[in-house]
Amino acid sequence: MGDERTDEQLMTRTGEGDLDAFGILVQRHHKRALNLAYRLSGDPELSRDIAQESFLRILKGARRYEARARFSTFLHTVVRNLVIEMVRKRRRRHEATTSGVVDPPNGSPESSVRVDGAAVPPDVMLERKEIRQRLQSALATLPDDLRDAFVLTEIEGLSYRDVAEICDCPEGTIASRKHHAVEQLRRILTPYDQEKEQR
Amino acid sequence: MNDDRNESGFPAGRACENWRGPLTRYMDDEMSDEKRTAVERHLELCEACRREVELRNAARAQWSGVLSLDPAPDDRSAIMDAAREYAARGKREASVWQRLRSWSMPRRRTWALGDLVTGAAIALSIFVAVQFKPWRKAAGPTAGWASSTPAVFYGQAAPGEQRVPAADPTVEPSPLPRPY
Repeated sequence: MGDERTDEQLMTRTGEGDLDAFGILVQRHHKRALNLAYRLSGDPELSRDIAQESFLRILKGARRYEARARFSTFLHTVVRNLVIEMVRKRRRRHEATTSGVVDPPNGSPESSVRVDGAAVPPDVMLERKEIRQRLQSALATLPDDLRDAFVLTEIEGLSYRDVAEICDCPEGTIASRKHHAVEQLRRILTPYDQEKEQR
Repeated sequence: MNDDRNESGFPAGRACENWRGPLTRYMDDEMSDEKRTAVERHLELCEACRREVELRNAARAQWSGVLSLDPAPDDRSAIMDAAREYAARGKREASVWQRLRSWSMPRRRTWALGDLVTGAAIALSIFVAVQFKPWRKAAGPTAGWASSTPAVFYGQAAPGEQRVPAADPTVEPSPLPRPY
């Protein structure tokens, strides 16, 4: 039976030194943190590091945590800030790949995606892989602020208000960034499709 | 592809130009009821915009599925291991701090850290006062410690002293007496 305490209550307990409460938070939100890091950075390995580091930062800051915002918003903020920090660090070291997109290694959990409990056939896997690469390449061309707004609202499904809090800017700015991101992605993805249709 | 959708599932953009922005807000559920009604009215009339909403919703579902990772089996345990290590380190640091505090604030009245610091501060103040006499009035262009420095240090004659005038550099000095 799962723990019925809210995330905010668990955070308060974590701040008091309860590692079991922290463990429940990790259990509940690790996948979300991992996927957000992956969608923002495009790098599976880096995403794992970011997810781990995010939870450690949350643990270190737990004593100062005030339940003003929802825990999920707090987590998104920590992950996004870490993505910015680590991707910047990487850029400085000139380690980034040319496209900014890295495929998950063979045999990683991502490479054996299952849908409705059934193994995905190889041709579908291949198609998914192509789509993923194209989407990630398109996302990688967006400026950071547009990508953040797009990923957080479109894929993570957060409200403009939450994203505004995470990105520390007005809601109107988020709406505008989202619109520009959609139009830019449309411009990037449409020519490829037309080219493919002609072939 | 047999419709107006990109392979990535993203619509090619055949919706009315002016309605694209509102459609995004409509799909994100970020609209007042009034505007929402206006968009719905437009959607009833416009096939292209209706298609845009349909495709964007399908693309959204596809994107979150395609762009997702499953955690590796040892990811969570690695986080918990690091958390335990951090907590243990925190306890060690706390115990060191407590020991320091108990050392500086002893139960019995003995010489302790606080007393030693206070004594050192007083001794330092006395030393500075005796050595540099900061209360003395400055006697010249300089003040403070320099005022207690003998004037002879600055090339001036002390009171009652007769200084030999400096040698004229134009006059050739007499030869030194030979030592033998």
